[in-house]
Amino acid sequence: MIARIAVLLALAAGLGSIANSVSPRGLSWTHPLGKGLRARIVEAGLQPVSITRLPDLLPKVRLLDARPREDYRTGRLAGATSYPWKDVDDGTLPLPPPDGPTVIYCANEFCEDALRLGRLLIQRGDADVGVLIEGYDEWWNRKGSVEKD
Amino acid sequence: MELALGVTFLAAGTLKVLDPAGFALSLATLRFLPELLVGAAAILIPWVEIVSGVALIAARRYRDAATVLVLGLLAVFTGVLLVGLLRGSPERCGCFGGGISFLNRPDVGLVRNGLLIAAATVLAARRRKATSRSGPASTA
Repeated sequence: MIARIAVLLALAAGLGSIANSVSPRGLSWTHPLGKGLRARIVEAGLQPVSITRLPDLLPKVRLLDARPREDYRTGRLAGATSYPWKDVDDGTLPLPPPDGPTVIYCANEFCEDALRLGRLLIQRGDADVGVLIEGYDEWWNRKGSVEKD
Repeated sequence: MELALGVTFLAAGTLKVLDPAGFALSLATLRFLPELLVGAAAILIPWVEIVSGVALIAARRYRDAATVLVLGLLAVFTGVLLVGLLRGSPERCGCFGGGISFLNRPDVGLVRNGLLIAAATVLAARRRKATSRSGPASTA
């Protein structure tokens, strides 16, 4: 029995390694998601916004939610507008029009959708674009003001 | 029952393989692994599910081992979901890929896992019984 379990595990490890190495969606084994997010936000010309600073900024900024539409419907920061990165990336949704200071967020510090959307806004020439580092999940954990459909 | 369990794990693993970043994000969000292990887990867990699912469906000789693997996975997943719910984690488990859907709700995941654990336990018990019956006969 143990030998057969080992065979199955070895097969899974082999197939997983091969599939991951040939797949265009393959992950890094050690840094699969958004490591060094703050540094990359700064490199992109965006402003890192921490969750403790966000409540002071909320009355003055436009909030964009870069997560998938389904996530947005399930729960979002109060007052946020949905701009799913995936929809912008595949061309089904145009970039949001320039509209003053903007803070973009996605799920948490491991996701990159907010950073990617922010990059596009900066490349277009928008100024004063920030990315919420901790994302929606931490806001939700801290019982921040949220709304849902 | 093997077929139902096998198809469930095959589907769960395949959906995760199709969206590895989404699954890695779900794992990271659940915060039960050190960050350094999230990548390896996101790469390997779906394939353990797929291989176990295929073995349950089509590889008679490996069904015992696949049932044990499936029970192990379910025990870990259920523990993680329970801890996540108690901690008040966000509303996504990544059980069937990275997106949020009814199947990915942690509470739905817990009920589903309970049923799957029951099914896998029944399977394991039946097989054990069959083995113990056929054991003496085959040695005679």
